[in-house]
Amino acid sequence: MKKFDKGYIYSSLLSDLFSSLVVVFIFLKDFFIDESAKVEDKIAAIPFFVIGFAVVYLCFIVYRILYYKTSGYELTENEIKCNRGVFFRKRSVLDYRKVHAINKRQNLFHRIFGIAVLTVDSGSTNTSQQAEITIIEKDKNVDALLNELNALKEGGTRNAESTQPKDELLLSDKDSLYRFTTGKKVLYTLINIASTAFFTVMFGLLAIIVIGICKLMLQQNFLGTWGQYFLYAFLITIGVMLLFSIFSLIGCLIHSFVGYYKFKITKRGNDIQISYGLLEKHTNTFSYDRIKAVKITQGLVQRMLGFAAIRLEVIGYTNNTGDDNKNADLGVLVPFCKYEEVGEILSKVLPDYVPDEKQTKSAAYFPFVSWFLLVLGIVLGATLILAITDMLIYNVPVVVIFAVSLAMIGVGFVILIIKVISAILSYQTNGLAITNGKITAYYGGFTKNVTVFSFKNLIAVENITTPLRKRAGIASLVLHLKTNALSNEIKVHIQKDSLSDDVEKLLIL
Amino acid sequence: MELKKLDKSVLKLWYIRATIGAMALIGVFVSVIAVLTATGAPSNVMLAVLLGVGVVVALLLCFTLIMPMLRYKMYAWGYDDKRIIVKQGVIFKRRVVIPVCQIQDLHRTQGPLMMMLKLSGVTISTAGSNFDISTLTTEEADRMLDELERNLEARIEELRNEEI
Repeated sequence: MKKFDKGYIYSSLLSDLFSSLVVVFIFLKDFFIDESAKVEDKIAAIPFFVIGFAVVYLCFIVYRILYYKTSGYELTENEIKCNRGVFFRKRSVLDYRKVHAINKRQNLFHRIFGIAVLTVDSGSTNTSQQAEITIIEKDKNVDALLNELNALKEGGTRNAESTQPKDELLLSDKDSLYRFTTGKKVLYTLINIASTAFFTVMFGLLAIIVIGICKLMLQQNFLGTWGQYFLYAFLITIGVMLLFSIFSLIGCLIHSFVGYYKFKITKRGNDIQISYGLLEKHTNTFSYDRIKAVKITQGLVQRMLGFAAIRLEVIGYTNNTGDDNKNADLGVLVPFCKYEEVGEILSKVLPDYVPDEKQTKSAAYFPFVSWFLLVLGIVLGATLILAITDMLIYNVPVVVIFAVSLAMIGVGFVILIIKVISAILSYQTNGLAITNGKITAYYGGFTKNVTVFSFKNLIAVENITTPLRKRAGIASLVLHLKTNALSNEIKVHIQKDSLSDDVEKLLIL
Repeated sequence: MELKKLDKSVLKLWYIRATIGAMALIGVFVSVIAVLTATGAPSNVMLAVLLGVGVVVALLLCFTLIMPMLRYKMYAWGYDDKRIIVKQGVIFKRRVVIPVCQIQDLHRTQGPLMMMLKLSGVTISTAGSNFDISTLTTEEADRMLDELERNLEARIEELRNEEI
């Protein structure tokens, strides 16, 4: 069995050194900043901290060396084998024909030592949180392995012919089917910020109503410390939200310019390759026939401005940056494009997944809000009654009771407005199209989602209704897909009851 | 396909679970009274807290004790050689159809209470979701697992032949 490249130890130890220094800094800063501690005590404590740091770092060194010694991989005639783990040893064997996705990852530390991480996934994500195979090798060896494994997953057997791939899979920038230009990145960042700002404003609106009522009471000296408390609490919350927006701005900039640096989609034969990243480079390769679904999403602001993102459901391909973990997130196909361009882009990259126009629409508006109204009414009513009763028992002045009640109703009213808007959007969005062996499901409220998948990936159909809705011939539909555990349900709300019968007929029984 | 009702002993299990839940709720209420009494809280405070907690506990208690009967009445399940159907839900009624050929694994589970009452839960795993058939008698569960396994093998063979 071949060992991983030694660069693994060096790159990991370099990264561990940074992490250890950060941890030590966090722990020590308070002690050294503490003015009450004597200077000589601080100096005397330094050797202990250095020894402590050395012990912790030594543990990392031992762990990395042990990991290196116990890990390795082997490409046999029909399978790829991999050993890894120190405390929990794992041995994985994966048949070449079962390879679902091959992902190459290279972070800054890997690049310093010229190595890369290759993860090979079988697609059995439901129970496992890790890719089946992890290989840490020199960058050029990883590229060679990537090409070889791509050839092997088609052929299934390793022989002289298949180990010499006819085409290099790693393609150049000019072959990219989509360009994430600087202009698009700027727009993408701005829209992301606008989305955060929108929700900050919505939250602010809620706060202003309560503050307004409390302030009015304060001016008339009704509320005293109660009102001040409300006022401060909401001002602090708004401050936190603004701070969050600033962090979000920085995060968005890093995400779009650094995270999606040199983003490209290339296609050759049955293989699709998506690569991106500056500090951490990703190269994800998977076969066209491994795609389970394509999801087009539009946040509220994106929806208003006519933009969208396209994501892919390919088990084993995610945007994760962890060591070798794979959660149930969707992989990105196109981070940002005009909604009207979606069909054009998909027809170039994934022609079988171009979304169809909606054939059904929501059967009624009221069911989108009915249960919410009932629950909100009960919760608000009960809280109000309990609060008023408690305040009466405590002999709280009537004006205070009035102010608190008004504030609670105000909050309830804002929540109701948000729900009504969300329900209008849901009413407009929800629907289904069934054509040419594929289903296009439209669903969501503030965020509009369109998922396209083939009949063969539909594994169960669920019909949800209430006695009243049943009488009106209305039901919601849950489509269970053959996909990752967290995203395998698509809920299309308030449709005609007969639709679930139509979809049930599509199940391969 | 004719759908079957759950066995009466399932209702017994759900009532035992509901009673345990109800006792926990009553325990919370009694603890609140004990804390208030021990701390010598003024009578108006005691009244206010008891009213708040009491209303919530009483509502939850009603809900806990009524639900098993309603759930039992609404639950129905069945399967044939091609599909499994489960109907459930008190207010929101759900009907799920799972094709037999999509089954990946079948699981039978039993907790201590279920073992005492000779009951078992069945989980049907597919390539996407897991579906639970709430509780069956162990005999029914074993029969279902055996039959589904046979149906699955036969169906896979049929589909393979259709492809050829």
